[in-house]
Amino acid sequence: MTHRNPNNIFIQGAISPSQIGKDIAAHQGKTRIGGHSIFLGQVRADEMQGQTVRAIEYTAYEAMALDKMHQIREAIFSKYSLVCLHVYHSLGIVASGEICLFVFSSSVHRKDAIMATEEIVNNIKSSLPIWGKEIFTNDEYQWKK
Amino acid sequence: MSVLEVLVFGQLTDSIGKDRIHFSYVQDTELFRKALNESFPGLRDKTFLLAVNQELVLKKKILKPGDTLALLPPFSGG
Repeated sequence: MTHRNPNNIFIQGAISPSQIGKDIAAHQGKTRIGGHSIFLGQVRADEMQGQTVRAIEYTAYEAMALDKMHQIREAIFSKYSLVCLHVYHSLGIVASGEICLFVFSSSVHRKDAIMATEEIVNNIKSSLPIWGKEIFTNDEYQWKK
Repeated sequence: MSVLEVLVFGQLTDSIGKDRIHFSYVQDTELFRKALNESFPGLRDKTFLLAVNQELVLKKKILKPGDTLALLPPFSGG
């Protein structure tokens, strides 16, 4: 996640737990923060018709998604008192059990961070042009609904 | 020749067989949907939104040659 465009939320493949740990550590110097709220989306090994999901392959209309994410971000900052906000979403293959979405809100008092995280996750799911293809253990697939 | 660039996403890539096509220019989004359904009958029972130059279009919109359209089935990120 170094040398990234700060407006880019996309990460190729899974989001690693060690990177999440480093991101938390990177906030220790921001001592105005009194609470962080973190949401981690994990790929679930759903079972359907005798088949198990082994991975989800994510694709996106990246330019439109980043533009929309910028609007979501502006709206959230005007509604809640946040110190900072970081969002990462996977593209490409993410195996079941791995992390595909990381939303990290920080505020002076906890409620702003908690409410902002909930609202951002809802907005990401409803309005970002991202698609998931569920790949089964036998390599057949279906598009995630 | 005047064309529209069309980006195809999600399950619609299965219906069209490509993730990017070029389409002869038509004047507005309603004519575009009609022409698209004629070229790709498999799209008729599919639900999708249109974006023109990255903006969602929910009503009829006039198109310009060279516009980039996108076919957006229901989002399923996260």
